Amino acid sequence: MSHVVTEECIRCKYTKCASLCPVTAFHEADEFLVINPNECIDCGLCVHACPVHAIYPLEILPEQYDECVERNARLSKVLPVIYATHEPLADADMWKAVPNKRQLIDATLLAVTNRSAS
Amino acid sequence: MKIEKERLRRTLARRLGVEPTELANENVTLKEILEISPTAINSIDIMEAFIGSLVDLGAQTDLELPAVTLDDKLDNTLDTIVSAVATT
Amino acid sequence: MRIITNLVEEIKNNNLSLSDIMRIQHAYHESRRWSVTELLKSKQIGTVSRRDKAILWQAARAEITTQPACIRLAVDGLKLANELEGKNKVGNTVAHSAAQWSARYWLEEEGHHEVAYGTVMEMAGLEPISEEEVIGHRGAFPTDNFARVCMLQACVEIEACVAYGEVAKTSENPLVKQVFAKITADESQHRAYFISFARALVECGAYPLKDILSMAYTWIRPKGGETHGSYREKQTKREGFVNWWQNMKTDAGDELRMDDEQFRSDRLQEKKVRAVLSAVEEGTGFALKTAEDLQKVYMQSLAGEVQLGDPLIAA
Repeated sequence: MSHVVTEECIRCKYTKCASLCPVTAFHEADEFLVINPNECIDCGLCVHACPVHAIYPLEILPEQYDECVERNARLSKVLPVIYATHEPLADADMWKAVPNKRQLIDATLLAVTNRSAS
Repeated sequence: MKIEKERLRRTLARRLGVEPTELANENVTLKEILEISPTAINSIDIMEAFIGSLVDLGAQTDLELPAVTLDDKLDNTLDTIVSAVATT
Repeated sequence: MRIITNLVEEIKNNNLSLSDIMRIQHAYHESRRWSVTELLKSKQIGTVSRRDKAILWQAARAEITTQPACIRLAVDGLKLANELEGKNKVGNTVAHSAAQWSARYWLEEEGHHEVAYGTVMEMAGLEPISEEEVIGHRGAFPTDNFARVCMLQACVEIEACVAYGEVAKTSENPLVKQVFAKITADESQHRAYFISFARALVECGAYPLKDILSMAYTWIRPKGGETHGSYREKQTKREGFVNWWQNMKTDAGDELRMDDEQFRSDRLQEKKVRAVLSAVEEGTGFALKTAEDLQKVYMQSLAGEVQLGDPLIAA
């Protein structure tokens, strides 16, 4: 099992979760975080810490976020670990309630990770 | 870098709040030093006294510090540290 | 429902009182409460592997030691609060916050762990822990300065999170998995609390920065760090169970031995080191990547060359 960071994180990246993770399972891209499913120990501390409720345990992940599971697993292999809480992105509050943020993920990043994974 | 053993001993004594003569016995252990120091209460304080002494004497921060235990004799520990510093 | 990770800021800027803090601690505690009795009621354990029995044997004993640890922290927290009264108002509130959390919530939660692991251990067919051994594990803990103790406890909880989390992920027994997962989640939040107290004690000026760094360094220093437990070349013989894994069974012929991969594989040790460095960052703001970086900053702190809030980072 693992926890999953969904697209709600994108362009907010409050990172309050990162400092609570006892096993440094969070990895960071410029605009969002992901969780390494191999490291996550399902303690659940991150869930309530996130101001935009972007994190779910896998077993109750809403269906609309299913594609986030693979993205967390794949991107955590290539993105650097984030160890602690930083300032959120500049327009985090503005992006809080914006839907369908998955399309904002940098295509370049996805292309890089697709090449790395293959 | 070279650090002279007796200078290290004196610096350590100052950090531990004891007279250098109290650290002169070659058989005194680190545990026994804890008992006579008015400021050090545990192995963390002893470690800090050693490291602090090295800082006082200008040792480099990438120095590979040896492991010590409270059962170790001070004299042997000083020798080990002096050797470690000499490799930097 | 939250852990106050920036206590000093909230006390100063949001005027949080001790009662406010306790209510937040209480709400968080209640939201995470679980029942050992309900969890184990009418459960059949089935087959338990040798590895799982080994860690149950170890963990059941380790958790007994948390009672004196919690009591020590509560009593020492009150002593510190009394020392700071009239001299450091914020520090006084921080010390009281740590003492009340330890006395009321940490102690209660660790009681769950002792009972849960002890019960599951017996369900797995192991002998109950003798009363003599229970009493032996309740011996008094040595005292130290409060900031160092908080950081020590954060490191201890990291050890637990990594070891217990590994069981939760890899055990093939559903009940063992479930119990370890519940307890790992508890230990994770304990770690967060300890870091918050250590950080607050330095931020309010009650203790120097070096006290967080010294304990973290003691834990993960490459030669002889406490995290290496009984695998260290040298270790002082200690009374009591401050580091319970010093007494782990590791002999090849012992059925209850802990294998390296359960507790001390390279992967797990690396995870622990990263986690301690993360705790240091949360406690001090210094983003360090290696134990060598930590040594450097620690030595700089002893020289008075770095202070909390310095924009420094890493080697």
